[in-house]
Amino acid sequence: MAIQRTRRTQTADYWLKEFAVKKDDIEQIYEWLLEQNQPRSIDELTIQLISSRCQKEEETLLKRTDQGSIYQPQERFEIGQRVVFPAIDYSAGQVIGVRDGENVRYAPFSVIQVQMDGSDGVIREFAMGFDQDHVLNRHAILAEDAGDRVPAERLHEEYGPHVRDQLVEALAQNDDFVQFGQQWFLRGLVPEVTPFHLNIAEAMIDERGHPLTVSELLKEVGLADSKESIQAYALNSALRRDGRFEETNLSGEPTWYLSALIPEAVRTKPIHLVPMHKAHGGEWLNRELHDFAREIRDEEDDLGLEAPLGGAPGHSVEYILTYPHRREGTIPLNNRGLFMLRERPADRFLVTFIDEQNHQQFRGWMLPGERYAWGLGEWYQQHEIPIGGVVKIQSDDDPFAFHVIFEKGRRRTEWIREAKVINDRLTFSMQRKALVGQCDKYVLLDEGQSSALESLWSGAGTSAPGLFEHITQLFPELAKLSGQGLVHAKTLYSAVNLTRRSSAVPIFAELTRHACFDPVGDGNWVYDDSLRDVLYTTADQMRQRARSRRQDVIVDHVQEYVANDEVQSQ
Amino acid sequence: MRAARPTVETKFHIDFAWWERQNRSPRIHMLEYLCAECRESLGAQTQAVMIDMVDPETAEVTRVDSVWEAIRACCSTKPGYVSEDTPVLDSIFRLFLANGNKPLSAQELYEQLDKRPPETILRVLTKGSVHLGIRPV
Repeated sequence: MAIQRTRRTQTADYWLKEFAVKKDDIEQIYEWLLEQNQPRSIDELTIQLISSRCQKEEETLLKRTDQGSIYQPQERFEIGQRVVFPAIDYSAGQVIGVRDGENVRYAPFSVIQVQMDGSDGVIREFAMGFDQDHVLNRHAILAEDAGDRVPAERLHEEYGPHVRDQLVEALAQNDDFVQFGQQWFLRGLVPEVTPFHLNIAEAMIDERGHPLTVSELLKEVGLADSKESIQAYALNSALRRDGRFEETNLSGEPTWYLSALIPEAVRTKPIHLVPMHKAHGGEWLNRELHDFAREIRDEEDDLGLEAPLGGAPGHSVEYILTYPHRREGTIPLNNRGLFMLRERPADRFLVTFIDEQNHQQFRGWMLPGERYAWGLGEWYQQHEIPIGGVVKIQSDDDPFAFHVIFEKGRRRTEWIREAKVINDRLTFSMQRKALVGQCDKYVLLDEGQSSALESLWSGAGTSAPGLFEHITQLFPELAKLSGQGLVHAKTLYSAVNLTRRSSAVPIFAELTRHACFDPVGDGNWVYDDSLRDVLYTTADQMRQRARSRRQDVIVDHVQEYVANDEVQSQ
Repeated sequence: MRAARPTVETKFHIDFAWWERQNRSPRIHMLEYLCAECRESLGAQTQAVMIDMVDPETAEVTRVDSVWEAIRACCSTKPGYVSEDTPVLDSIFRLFLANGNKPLSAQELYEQLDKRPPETILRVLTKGSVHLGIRPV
């Protein structure tokens, strides 16, 4: 028999190796929930189970101490007397003999021979009248000594996940229990939610036009008499099972909205926003390109952790509109944009956009985890904001309202690049176009017929040519517009995004590492097709650009693109 | 059926039957571990003398050779019984003598000796022939 100084339920071995959920545990949880009469979290159920196991062990130990005198080496026992040994798993036995101890190290003592209970009836010997300094003389291990026991909550902290996983599995297989989120309850105690109740809920949300909490819904959806928490639990469970409803607040109190009212672009990330190429960190960029990347701040170039919540009311950020966001009516949310959020109640939540110019309000959705907000499609059209338009978004006193601003200024006419699809190829020409508002002149593009562009769109995961190949196709088309064969890096970024989603860093990294591209100043690059197979592999090579045939090539530092604006210069 | 391959969780102990089969006396080996005091009092004993050893945790009494009892009750409590220089295998043997030959796994031996990683201890104990009678329980 194993020698045990502590209770089994106090050991890691018990919870991590021996523990398995038994029928008794489930019955005990059932009774406890019945008694509590309200849903409980899986953690609470786990603590309850742990506590119950500890309690059962205590009861067993107490029963055993009734079976005889508690053994301590200094005590004396008679033949025929029953003795309980707390240090040996509370085993008990009967004294059947006594002899003198033999060890000159100690003062004279005796040895009792004990026939242990159990089928084997083994005889073991123990010291008696042993007046030495022995741990059992100082402190007999008694079932009543609960002082050293670790509370169930602490055991839960240490071994909870292991116990919880098994408990969830057992509860899920038992029809008596139901689960909503992390809460479990007894099926028999959940009030019935009928189609009539759900129809009322649907009508309420439809009428109010925004998500409602279950507490709000319960004001009109009358369920059978029971605690409000149970009613809420029942309604939440029923709403979750009904496809008409969508849970829009996943972190706090659930809020419910109608699936039919959630735009497709909110339900699923639009294909135009799914990046085919994005920054991963460690890309080499020349210093100028690095500055451009920081200026553009494409949301897919943000590395590391998301920005914390924080910006005060009135906090604003600007972004340069690209084709994908213009087409989808979305706002890119880079870390600066995310910092504007003061509350983030759910993975996706409704917000109000306020047109700063005419104070018109319209509904939109924030999807911080997906790094975009949706709802500006009509607004972009209404204000004729082009690709390259500079848009400002500013937080309101209401944490769920945001002002959208496009500085219009006077209408003007400018020569701008217009995209055209000819023979399934993307080409560009300069056209005079009427423009309003503040634009980045390098990103500025006219998309021409977007339906034609769509036929060339390469979604992530498709077998489109690689980014370098794509750039080498686009570059000559853009270069022919300048007369000197120059293409600005930001223009290239804007043009690439007409037919595939790519953040700036991967494009700029291709420019930096391929010898066929050379920087010639002011953000402009040239292309030499004869060097398209030559790759610079070290930072020094990328800086020197030794293979260049141009006299005007700019020798610039190259920097590794890393998170948090930290760069390493070479 | 082949025995399961030992892992770092497999318990080991000193198998005194192994010593008998090898026709060797663990007592001779144990004499080397006696402290100066005990060597003086027990060194002259040429034959095994069985005495009562009282377990420090349970007070259970077992009849053991006086040399082992001395190691457990006295010598093993003195500094230097297991030192940094003591070879791993020797340290494990000393540890089993000191704890009354309670089975321990490679993981537990590592935790008590802090000499080598559990995997290394396991390799030492299972590689080749049996050393000092230390075998899986």
